Amino acid sequence: MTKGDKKLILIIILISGIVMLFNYINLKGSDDLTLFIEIDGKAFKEIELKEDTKEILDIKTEFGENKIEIDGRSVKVIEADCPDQLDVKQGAINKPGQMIVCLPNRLVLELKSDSNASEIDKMVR
Amino acid sequence: MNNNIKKIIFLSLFISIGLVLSLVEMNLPVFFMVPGAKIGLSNLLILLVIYYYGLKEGLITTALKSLILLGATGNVIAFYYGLISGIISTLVMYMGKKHFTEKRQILSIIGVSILGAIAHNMSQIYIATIVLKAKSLLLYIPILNIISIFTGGFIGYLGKLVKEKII
Repeated sequence: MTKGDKKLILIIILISGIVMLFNYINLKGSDDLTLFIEIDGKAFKEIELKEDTKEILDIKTEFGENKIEIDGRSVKVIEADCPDQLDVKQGAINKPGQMIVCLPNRLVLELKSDSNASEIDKMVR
Repeated sequence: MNNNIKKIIFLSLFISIGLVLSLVEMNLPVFFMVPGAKIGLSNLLILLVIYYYGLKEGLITTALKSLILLGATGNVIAFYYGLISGIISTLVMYMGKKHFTEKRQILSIIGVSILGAIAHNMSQIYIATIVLKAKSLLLYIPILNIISIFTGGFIGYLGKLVKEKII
């Protein structure tokens, strides 16, 4: 391992650390938590999450089927028909900015809070 | 033995080993905060092909490995992501090797491997961001880069060992 290698590693850690700090400061949310469900890049459903929300949602599309469980302010995928099962293995998300993605089924589950719900939600073409 | 035949045999072996490593990797879930983060064992073979042969052979290996993996798993999405990210990562590793290892001695094979890992991960995130239209995926980049340091470094170290002790 040369000196150059170590410098490269240091640079990466530094830049990543700064970007993460930046993101953390910008993403501190308020109390409102909304679950945005997108399929193939298009908005599918929006659900307000409250402490007593309890729902099991079956999302069946032309791309596949995912079953999600909403328990209060946390969301997780309990069943999916994708080959890698990464979304199921990920577990629950409960903070704004977190997301669960099922690439084969083109499903995106994203939690947003009121403060950044309008900032990040832009279409990229 | 004719050099060309030797090359074909070696490349075939590399592709096969890379394929097996990819399949084995699928059963080792390693994600600390980011789903889909992998150790990238098969990149070891791409790295070695670039060092033993060159850019052309590296690209061929990447493309064939992705193609055969598609045949083995049937995961078309992984094929597209893997193919594009693999090609970008191969290009980055080749240029890294040429400019930082041969022209000027700044990096070692470990640094080259780390560059490749970062290129691979960043390109996958960008593609996913565009396809799924979810800009928030970009937030995963910093932590992925830090993970890339470890996975890329590990693969680079393995590459160094192979070059020194095996071939």
